Amino acid sequence: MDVPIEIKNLTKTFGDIVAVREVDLGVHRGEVFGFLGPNAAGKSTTVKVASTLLAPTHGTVEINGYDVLEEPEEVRAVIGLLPEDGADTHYDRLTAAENLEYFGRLYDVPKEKLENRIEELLEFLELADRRDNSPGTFSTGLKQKLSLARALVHDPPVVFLDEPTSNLDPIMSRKVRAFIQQMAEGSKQTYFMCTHLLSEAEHLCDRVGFISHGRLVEVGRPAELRRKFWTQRTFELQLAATGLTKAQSIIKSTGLVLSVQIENKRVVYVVEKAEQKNPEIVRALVEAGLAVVELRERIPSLEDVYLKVIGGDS
Amino acid sequence: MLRKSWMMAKTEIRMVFKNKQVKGIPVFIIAMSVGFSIIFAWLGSISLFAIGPELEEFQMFYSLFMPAMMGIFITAIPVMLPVMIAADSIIGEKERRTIIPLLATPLTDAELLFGKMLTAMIPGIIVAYASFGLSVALVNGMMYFWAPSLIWIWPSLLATIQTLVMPILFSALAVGIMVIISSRVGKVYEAYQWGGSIIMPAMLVAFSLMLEGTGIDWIIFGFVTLILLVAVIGLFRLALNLFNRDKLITRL
Ligand SMILES: Nc1ncnc2c1ncn2[C@@H]1O[C@H](COP(=O)(O)OP(=O)(O)OP(=O)(O)O)[C@@H](O)[C@H]1O
Ligand SMILES: [Mg+2]
Repeated sequence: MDVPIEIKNLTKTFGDIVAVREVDLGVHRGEVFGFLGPNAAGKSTTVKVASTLLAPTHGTVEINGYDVLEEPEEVRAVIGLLPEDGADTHYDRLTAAENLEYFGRLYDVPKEKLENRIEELLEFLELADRRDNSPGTFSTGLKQKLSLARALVHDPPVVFLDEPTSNLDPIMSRKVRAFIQQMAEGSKQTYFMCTHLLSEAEHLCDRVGFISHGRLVEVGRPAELRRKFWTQRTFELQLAATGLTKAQSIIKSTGLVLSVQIENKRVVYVVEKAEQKNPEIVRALVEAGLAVVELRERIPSLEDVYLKVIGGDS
Repeated sequence: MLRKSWMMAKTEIRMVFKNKQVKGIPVFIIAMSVGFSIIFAWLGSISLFAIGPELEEFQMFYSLFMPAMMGIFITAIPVMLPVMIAADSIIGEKERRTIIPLLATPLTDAELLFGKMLTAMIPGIIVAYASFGLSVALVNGMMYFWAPSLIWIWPSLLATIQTLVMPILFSALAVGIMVIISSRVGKVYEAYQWGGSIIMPAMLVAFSLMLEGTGIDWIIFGFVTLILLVAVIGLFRLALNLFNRDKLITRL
């Protein structure tokens, strides 16, 4: 399989601090990969190493088959980077459009193509009317959008985004997410993004990785991780008429569930192997003359997964 | 390689002159150089009428006086500009964090450093040449009306060559110094202090100009130029070796 981001046994230390510890990770072409973890977990450090800004202490990172230490120029040519706190990395002495033009030319984008690309990005990110202003006069969100435009100006095959939607309003965040999804589709681009927004990762990322204290602790599709951490599933049952307590005792008497209680006029039960047990539970209820209107699973969010993996709820 | 460095320098030079601290420096340098050249030319020639000894002795006096007085304006003062630009474009970029996306572009280390060198060098050269050219024109224009026998005694060929060569070497030297200190210095004002060290070799050149007409002036000039050239090449190679994205970024 085509793996444009390949991290092997990566360790990065700053003096005594081990920021990244023996991380192994491959991101596939066309994938949107979310890198999640608490503050100081090592997310930004990983991105900096992968974008050749920091040298690995041990291990290797290959981008599109190029080694970050051996072939840094080749690596840089195929990546786009939105650095951490990218909002304040613009040249205030140039206009927004000039900032993009400068970088486009450093990336060797042909002039005409560059002009179109800049207009397209400014238009898309709703910056067109501010194109001739200095980023120094921008709000933080506008600066952030300009950073995003700069990371994408050369249409790189591999994109690293360190907290791309921080400072963006909800509508713009959604727009940017849709854009990323669209670009990743058809394997045109591969995205590696750090984020603290779990709902963002949940909706956008094909796979996520959890990093904590420099260690990669879990990698997988959000749904996979849910299944892995929730062998016990929780269901909510709604009845047409009264009979909640009756339903509760029936469910309990089946002996199939781990727990059952009443919450908000619903019967809530926890069960293992739900595929086999749910039909039996429903049958028992129907046979007792109760009308089941709705049976819904309480799906744990990625946030729940996060709390479980990182241990925030312990 | 040159193309990218050149493109970079063009953009950076444009930015340099939007910097308030740097903006006024060219005017200052040119005004100093022009102003003092006229004052010295006047001082050097006024006694021609006051005392009135042999003309040849006067020409001799003037030919020694002018280079000695002007040396510092031709060499040391114009060096300020490349030092300030280099500090702003290397340490300043680090301070403002704009260096991060720049370091993530496919520029090679050599392209990046050469671009920075051009950024400091081109304005440095233009200002040094302009202030020298203006001084020469005004001084000799003044002599045309005032003391025609002293026309074109200053500048000598040596002073001219020195003026043409030195800004190039000193700009390169300034950039080399800035790159070498860049991994440890994070503030522009600190960088200025380090940049001040460049005044020593500049004084050496100014001093060599004072020896004009002594017969060993060309030897000294050649010697000083050679030393500077070796220093510049050595420093640039050292800078290229020391230049390290990891070290620059680690402290950001
Ligand atoms: N330049 C540096 N020098 C020293 N230590 C550093 C440096 N950069 C990062 N660290 C340390 O490395 C660890 C990982 O930092 P990193 O920036 O990668 O975290 P992060 O996961 O991006 O956190 P956040 O969510 O806060 O952005 C932290 O303990 C941090 O203090
Ligand atoms: Mg971070």
